[in-house]
Amino acid sequence: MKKPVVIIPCSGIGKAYGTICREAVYEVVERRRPDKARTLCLGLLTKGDEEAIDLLKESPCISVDGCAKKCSYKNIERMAEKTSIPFTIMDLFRKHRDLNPNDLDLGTVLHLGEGGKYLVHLLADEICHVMDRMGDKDE
Amino acid sequence: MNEKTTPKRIGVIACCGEEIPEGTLTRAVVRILMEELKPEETATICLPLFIAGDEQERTFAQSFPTITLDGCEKRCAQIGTEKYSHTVAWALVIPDIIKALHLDMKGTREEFEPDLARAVAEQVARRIEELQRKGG
Repeated sequence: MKKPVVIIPCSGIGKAYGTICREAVYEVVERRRPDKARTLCLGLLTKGDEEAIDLLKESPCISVDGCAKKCSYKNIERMAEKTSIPFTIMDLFRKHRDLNPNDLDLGTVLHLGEGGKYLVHLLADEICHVMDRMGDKDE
Repeated sequence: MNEKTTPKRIGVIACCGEEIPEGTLTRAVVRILMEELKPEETATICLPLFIAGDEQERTFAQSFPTITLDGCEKRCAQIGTEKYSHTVAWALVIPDIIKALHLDMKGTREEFEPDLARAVAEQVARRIEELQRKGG
């Protein structure tokens, strides 16, 4: 059986974008692709947990970041010496030019607004699309 | 009390553990502190920035007396902070706080339970006050 894709959102706690990434990952691992994907605590990488690092070394990885600091991507890269497939909120806006963050009700870190929830679904769509392409390549 | 030695802000770093409900709770607790209970007295930083960020980020626990809030005994926030930044003033773990409050863990990793988050945040707020009394 193929290893599940490990999808790690950033732990962004300062802005709603961190929550959008986190909820998009839950949307994928809990409901859309529960048999093909799982998540992992990003803090385990910051800590240097060997079990977590080993898991990443042997699994396909996706990072989902809410700001330009790209904490998820960089922690995976530095601690597991692995290049993840990167998703960022900025890329989502670049791809969907019709969306203006200033026009969206993103909500807060604790409670996303309608615009924030819309971005969660859009981001989950994008992640699933890439996961499906990864699956096609393997077959 | 000498005001000059009273730290204005106390750092609180949540593990934010994405895999477990307690991780989601740590995140809610820090936001409740920052938005409601201690908005002028709390500072925070995303834990993984200790690796993804630069030297400025790594001085966080030197700049602020810091409390770490972990969701489990793996203590990622405490160990990560002490490895890259500075010794922490207090290392709190969610199950210990909940046990001391005689409460049960509620919520999921997707949704925290607001009353529990508030109760835990009030406990952390007491530690913040204690640190301020001690001068950090």
